[in-house]
Amino acid sequence: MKTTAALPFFLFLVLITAFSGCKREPAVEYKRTDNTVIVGMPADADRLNPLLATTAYARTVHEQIFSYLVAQDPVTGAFLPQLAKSLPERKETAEGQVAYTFEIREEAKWDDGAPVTAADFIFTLKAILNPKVAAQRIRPYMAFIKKVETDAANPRRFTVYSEKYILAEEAISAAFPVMQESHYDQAGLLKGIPLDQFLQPEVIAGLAETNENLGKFAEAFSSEKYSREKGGVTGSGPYRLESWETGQRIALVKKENWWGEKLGKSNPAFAAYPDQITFKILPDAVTTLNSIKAEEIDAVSNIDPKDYIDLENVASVSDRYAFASPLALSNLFIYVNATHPILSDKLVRKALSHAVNAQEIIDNVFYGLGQPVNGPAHPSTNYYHKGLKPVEFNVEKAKSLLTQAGWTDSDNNGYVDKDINGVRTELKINYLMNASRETSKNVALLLQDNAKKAGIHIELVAKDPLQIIDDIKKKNYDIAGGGRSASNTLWDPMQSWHTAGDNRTGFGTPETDALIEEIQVTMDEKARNEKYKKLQEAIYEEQVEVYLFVPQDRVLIHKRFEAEAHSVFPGFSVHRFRLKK
Amino acid sequence: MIRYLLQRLLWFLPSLLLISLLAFALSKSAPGDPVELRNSAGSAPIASGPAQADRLYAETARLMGLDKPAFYFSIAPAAYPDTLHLIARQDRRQTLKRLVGQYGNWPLIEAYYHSIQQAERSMAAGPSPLAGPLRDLYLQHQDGAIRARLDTMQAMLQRDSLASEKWREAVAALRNNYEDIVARPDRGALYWPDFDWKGFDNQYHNWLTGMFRGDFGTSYQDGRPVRNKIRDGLRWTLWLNIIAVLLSFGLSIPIGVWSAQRVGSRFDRSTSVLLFMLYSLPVFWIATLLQVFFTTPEYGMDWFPTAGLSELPPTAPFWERLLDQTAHIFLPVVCLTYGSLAFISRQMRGGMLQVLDQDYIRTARAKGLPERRVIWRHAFRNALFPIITLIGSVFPSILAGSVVIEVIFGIPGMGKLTVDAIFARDWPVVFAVLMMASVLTVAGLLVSDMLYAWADPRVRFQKKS
Repeated sequence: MKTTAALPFFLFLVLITAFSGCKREPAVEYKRTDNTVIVGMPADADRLNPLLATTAYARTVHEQIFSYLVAQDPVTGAFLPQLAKSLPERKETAEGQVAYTFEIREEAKWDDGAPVTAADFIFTLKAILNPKVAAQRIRPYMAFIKKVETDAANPRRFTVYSEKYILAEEAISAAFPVMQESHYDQAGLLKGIPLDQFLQPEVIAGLAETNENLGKFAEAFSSEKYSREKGGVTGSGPYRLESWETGQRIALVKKENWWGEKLGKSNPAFAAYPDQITFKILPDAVTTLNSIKAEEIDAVSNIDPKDYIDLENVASVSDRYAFASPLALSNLFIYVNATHPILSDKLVRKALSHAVNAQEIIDNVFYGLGQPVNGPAHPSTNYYHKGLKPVEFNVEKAKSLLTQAGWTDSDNNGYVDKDINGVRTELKINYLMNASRETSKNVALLLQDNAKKAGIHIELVAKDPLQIIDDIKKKNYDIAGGGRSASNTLWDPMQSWHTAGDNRTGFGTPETDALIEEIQVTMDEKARNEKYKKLQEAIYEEQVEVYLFVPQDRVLIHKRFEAEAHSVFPGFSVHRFRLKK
Repeated sequence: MIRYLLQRLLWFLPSLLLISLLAFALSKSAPGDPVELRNSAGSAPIASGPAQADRLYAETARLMGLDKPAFYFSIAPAAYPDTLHLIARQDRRQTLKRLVGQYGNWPLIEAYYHSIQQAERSMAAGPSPLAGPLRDLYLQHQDGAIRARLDTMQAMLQRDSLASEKWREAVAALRNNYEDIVARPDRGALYWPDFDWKGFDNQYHNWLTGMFRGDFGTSYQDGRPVRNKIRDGLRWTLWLNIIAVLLSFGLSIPIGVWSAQRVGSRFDRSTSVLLFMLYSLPVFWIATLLQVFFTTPEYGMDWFPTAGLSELPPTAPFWERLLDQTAHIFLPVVCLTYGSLAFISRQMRGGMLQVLDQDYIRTARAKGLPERRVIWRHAFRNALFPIITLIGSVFPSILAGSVVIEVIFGIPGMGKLTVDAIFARDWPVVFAVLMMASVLTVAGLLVSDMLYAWADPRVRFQKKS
């Protein structure tokens, strides 16, 4: 009887305990709940004319306003048709050229209702190739185009004939957006000049001196109206420019009845979820931090590594923001001047590589936010040579290589030396570093310390960044810190690795030059990847660049949005931010 | 007074010219090539070859007006040719200048330069192992570096019979031409000056005449008219600084006067200590602390916005925007104001103490005038000289802006504009700001002189006979 009576009471106690243990956390309240995304950006765009803009920040903004024939999905890396109905038809011609045929979608329209046509594409090309227009950043990409043919029966269809070149398709379809001829050339100044003349550099250069229309067009095209003003900056993309307060914010508003809206359901290239996007300019890192804490911005990238780590432990921030650290499309390395009398010896360069502790730099200077790499190719690509391990930090190996090269510590001062032309010479090299950056100094100190263990005397020389660039260009340096953006698509090594390019280390032999030239025209992916790997092996063997790591970006996205971080600058695609219900 | 002002203005014009010349000369000496910076901004462009790279460079230089001679004339040693400015690339021009500076014999150096170009053209048809060291020669002027490249090319030819067949003569010509330079220097011409007239179509003239027309040119960074960039930056800098100046003087003058009246008292001592403490606090630190404490919820006092000038669009109602902007500029104005309180109040205090010791002040008191009238009517005006000097310096500082405050609070003002322009070698913007600062400095000095005369009628501007 007693047991029966006690049971309900006992059950009651159990229930009370269970409910008190299931304490519900109060729901996190967000400061804003609207469908406006505010993106923090460290610098203002220079202009929103996509052919003239030079900064990555400008592209982040204007790619919301303009559409491209083909757009890259930054998450998967795949190319998706945007203005074009499909990826181009590719055909090799008898002359050894490649013909790319595009057809623009029927539904693609400008804001005034006019259809997007091949004439707009041709106009855009003319604007790029006009020598009076400051489109130096894009113009070299057009050097491969030989001819463009339109289809008389279909104003949306056209074929671009190009030299065989691996980046030609990407350059033609995704490097620049299509611009509206009737808006950007209202006086029809370029209409009377055939495209063929623009495609011949000597001809157009001569015409630029005699035909004043080219200059008049350039002046109008470069004006503030088409670079910064509402109504002047206009494209076929989902957003329009609402306002631009210089140095403060750029506001974009989603177009009503945008022609691509329905296509977004099946094609991510048409995703445009926010009603408004505002880019807020925050030049200072501490201000950005405070803006995050004050919940004044919804997305930001490239946060200082230490701040990123610290913010993860701030409850008010981690409750509201999702943290992501995708691999950035860049790599950091040390230039080694192979034309230097001491560094021309490959054994010395290899010894130097083994004396660099990349992991220590990642851990101590970048708080673990990086991944060691073996060369200039990005690890996310399918041609990254996985068979080459990043050079290991090994002081004993470094010492052994130096001994092989004839360097010994004859005077027991901790640094190796060698007889060179009868003179006892210490292995002393200068490291050029950026005087104004703390991370640069910290990397240099770690480098110096580890090199000393191997007997290499590194002298740190702080200089102005522009002076460093000048010295490197003239090969008037020993070793220097460097960084480079990397591609997650195809890589043309001509610029940095060919002896006729902007080669800053003295790398290159006829064999590597020939290999690079073959890569440029090898259209078959498998064959090309083999060549990429051969080139990476050659670079790895020469050790003219000591690779430190590929940094991980530091991205924060407000939790009220469903969004994915990725490697492509700025680390997220703001038009894909979907407000959670 | 009018004559004095006209005299000062007449002296001002040559001063302005001198400043412009100095700024222009310094810009030409600063490292960095604006054309290269422009071409390499953003993603590095690909070039299909050196010829195309050179063409791109020349086009950009022409668009920026940097293909013209720098100045009306050059006075240089006779060894330097008058056509060096025709070489588009700045880095190659500098190398040739340095070679001339070392050896003097321009015809031989020119022949050597042409032989590099000819060798490069001969290599354009097909791959060459010599291309790398050959292109390096364009940038080398030191004997050791040049010989190292020539030796490298020679060694390559010895190893490669095919290359030797193609380029043996070109390399031999290079070496012979270089050896000629070393063997036959003409250093005498380096000690003989030569005047070379370049004409009026030069960079300095175009810039100067444009400036007098109110056209400061276009920015190298974004192609915007410089005057528009300055207008955008000046608007906010003027607002902030005018408010800060009014507050600084408005607070400091009474504090200084009251301290002088109560010299040695608790009020005098405590305000001095407080103001000097404020003066010693670095502005970047205070700005950051204010931002952390008063704009984030961490300490429960997020009363102000973190950065920027307004959250409302330009189309929002006027009073709403005014209120919003006031909230945004409150903290920046505090930062701009607090540091100057100590200095100005001490100047006022010192001036007042000197005047309060005067006989006429004793007489005024003896006549029974109220103390307030003695201080503000009789003493204050005569104690203003140090303040008037400070007012003169306000004019250029109103324009200058504070880059630290602007960066921390995200205000697109003149300070940030100027510093960014300097780092980017955006010389049209830098020159325009410099010239405006010069004009305002002189204007400030003239205003000070007029105020001296107003404050003290005994001040005369004529020379004593």
